[in-house]
Amino acid sequence: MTARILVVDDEANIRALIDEILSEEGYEVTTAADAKEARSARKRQDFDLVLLDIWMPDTDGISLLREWSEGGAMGTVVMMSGHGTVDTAVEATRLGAVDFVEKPVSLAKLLRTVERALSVRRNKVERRGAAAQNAVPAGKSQAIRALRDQLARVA
Amino acid sequence: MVSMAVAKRIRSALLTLLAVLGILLWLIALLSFTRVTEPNDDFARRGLIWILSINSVGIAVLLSLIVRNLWQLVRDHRRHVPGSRLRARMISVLVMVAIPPLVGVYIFSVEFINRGIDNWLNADVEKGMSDALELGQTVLGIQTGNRLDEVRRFAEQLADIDGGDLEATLDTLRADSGALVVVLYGNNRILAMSSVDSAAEALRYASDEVLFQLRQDGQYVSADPQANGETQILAAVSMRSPAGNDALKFVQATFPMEQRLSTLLNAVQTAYFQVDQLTTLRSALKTSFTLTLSLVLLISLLASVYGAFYFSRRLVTPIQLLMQGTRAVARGDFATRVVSPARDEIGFLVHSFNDMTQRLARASEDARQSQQQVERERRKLEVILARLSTGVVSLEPDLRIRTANHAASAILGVNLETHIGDSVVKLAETEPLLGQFVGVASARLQNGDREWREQIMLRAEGGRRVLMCACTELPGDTDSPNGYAIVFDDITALLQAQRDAAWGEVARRLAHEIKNPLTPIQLSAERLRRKYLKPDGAEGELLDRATHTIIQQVEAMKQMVNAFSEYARSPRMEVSRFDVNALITELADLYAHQEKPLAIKLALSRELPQVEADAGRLRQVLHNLLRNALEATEHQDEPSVEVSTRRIVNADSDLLEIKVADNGPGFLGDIVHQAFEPYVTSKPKGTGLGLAIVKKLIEEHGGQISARNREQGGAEISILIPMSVDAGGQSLNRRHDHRRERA
Repeated sequence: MTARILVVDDEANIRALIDEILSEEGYEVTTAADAKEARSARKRQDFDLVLLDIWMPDTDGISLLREWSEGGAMGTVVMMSGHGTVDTAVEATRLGAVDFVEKPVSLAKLLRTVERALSVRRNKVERRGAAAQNAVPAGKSQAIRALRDQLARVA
Repeated sequence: MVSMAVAKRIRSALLTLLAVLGILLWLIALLSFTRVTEPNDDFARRGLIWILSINSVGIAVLLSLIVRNLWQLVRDHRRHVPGSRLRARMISVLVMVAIPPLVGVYIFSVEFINRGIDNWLNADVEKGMSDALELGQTVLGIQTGNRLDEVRRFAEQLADIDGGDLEATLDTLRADSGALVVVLYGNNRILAMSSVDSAAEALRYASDEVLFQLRQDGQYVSADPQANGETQILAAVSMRSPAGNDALKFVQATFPMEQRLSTLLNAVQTAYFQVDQLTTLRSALKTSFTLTLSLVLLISLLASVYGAFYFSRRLVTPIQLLMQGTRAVARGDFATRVVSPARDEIGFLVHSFNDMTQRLARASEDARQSQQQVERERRKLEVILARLSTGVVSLEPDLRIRTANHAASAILGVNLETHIGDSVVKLAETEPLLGQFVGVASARLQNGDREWREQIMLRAEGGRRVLMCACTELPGDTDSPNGYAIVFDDITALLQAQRDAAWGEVARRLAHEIKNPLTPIQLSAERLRRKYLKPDGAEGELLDRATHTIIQQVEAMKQMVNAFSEYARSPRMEVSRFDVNALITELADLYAHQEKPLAIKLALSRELPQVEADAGRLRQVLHNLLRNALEATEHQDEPSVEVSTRRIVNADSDLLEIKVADNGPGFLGDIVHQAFEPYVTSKPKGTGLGLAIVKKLIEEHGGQISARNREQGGAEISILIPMSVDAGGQSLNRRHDHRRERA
């Protein structure tokens, strides 16, 4: 069973690259350049995971997330942002996003996040529990986590 | 107040009553006095002593009143009591006017009465009266003589008759002569008798007087007043007795006297006696009249003098009151009201005066009220000015301080409120901050520039201060200005906030515009590594190095953008209590165990209590400072970094001081003044944000930060923060307040 992933980003390079990477990993990837395309893609089919950029022209990622959240059938969403603040992360989590990826994201981090999000969905268990299950942090991930902690503290 | 007025009224009524009674008594006494002249009035004689004493008492009372008044007048005159001169003049005029007529009337009256008495009682009147009396007596003598002759005729006729014809003859004789009774006596008894009526009964016996006279002279005549007011003439004539014995025989007849003659005689007699008596009393009468008149004069004189006092007082009193009122008004007491005594012209004057003082009082009250209102407005304005965060200073034309508010003092760092009236130029010589400010302002004013706006930059201990300053001249009476009002705001914080906001926007954009392209770069590099990096081979080594560099540079760029975002952001403070020394020690340990260890000398105060601050922010601050120090001392032979803490307790502040010093090259040139501005750096690799972030974090604590180059070389950063961040009132930096308001 191949997981279906929707990548929403206004930057064509990023869209293409993530598409390529995730496809290589065996996921079925669909891309959308903006909120309009994302909506119509979601109408056409269900996705196991949505990677949603925050900063987009017209409708931004948070607004789109809120729209889906209010619409009910939201699915699993991971937010991506280049200027993520703790506030936006908290807001996204409150709206039901399972994770938050800071750009520029490393390949490993991207894959790990996707896997973890999918496992959350797959197991239909509580997100925290799933995270704990998967959280056997490697060295690199620990550094990133420390960085994030630091960021949260300073901010 | 009311009871006093009532008592006064009762007293004056009593006095009036007494005066009226006294005058009545005096009048009665005087009237009674005139009766003394009537000689036979017993009442007058007895009352004389009373009359005299009443008059004496009256005189005494008047005299004492006058003396008292006179004494008061003299006293007032000596004391220069207002109105006393006027009163004295008035009294003397009144007395002068009253005395001469009184004296004139007195002299005339005395003369007139004395002359009158003399005239009435002169010798002619006396002579006339005695002549009249003599005439009357003569007439009487003639009458009685005639009657005697008639009786003598009776006797001759009767002598010849005897016996029974006697009665008839007597009747005839009586009827012819008009006698009332005719009696013939003989041998001590009535021989015959004829009478008109029974009245003759009384003449049955002749009186002894008649008998005596008959024996002597042989005849008797008398005129006797009768009880009924008539006068009867009794005549008797003895007849020659033929026997010649003692037995006396005589005829006695009684005749009525003519009525008119009788009355006249009586009147003349009475008048004569009266005149005689008056003549003897003449001098006594004169004395009595003169005495009466003198008493009247004396009392009138005294009364008129007292009246002069009384009326002068009544006239002068309102004038005195007016004078007192005028003086009171002159003193500024407008509440004075003069009691109006009468409805005459003086009363009108008093009324006008009262009207005037009332208007004056109203006017002064209005003036006072408007002054109060102005004062109130001024105070309100003062309060508003005091509360204003904008500094307001007003200057005299010669640049002396007229007013200054609290904010002005706070901004310029001088307590201007204690230097009101001092020259601001002189004051500026000792106060550097004020000096810079005054330098700009006075230069402008000396150029004749009276209305201007300028942004003034001041170099203060804690960094630059930017003041937005506006000056306007205060309107004067003429063309020359009455002074200047300078209004200024410390807009450092505002500018900072604007800059912060601008940087925040830039940071957001940068994050997007840089991090977005970084994403494909990093992902592509990693993808290259993943796909083509084999564990062996020279080509692999190149690929490894190249992709590693790319990923590293991406990471560096990310760090830089993050650092910039950190600077631009200002999230909420998280205040807790912790031990700063412990925090510093912990950080120092961290640096000691790095790959290139740094020995940090700690000089920490032992008496430091727990500080109340945001531990995360403080850690970041110290981290940045230590990293700077580390980088600065990188190329030193003996790198040295020293961290010290100290508690500074002042009257109104309780501060923590942290100093981080190094022996590096220090700040270059002018950078020391701008060390805390963003993107100012002396490091080849610096982002220029480290110290800016530190400054921001310290300011968020209400603290101050300053940088200097040490004399022995190297830089020193000192931080001052309040021991308790919540003690906002002690905030060292006004900018902090703005920041908090914005949060």
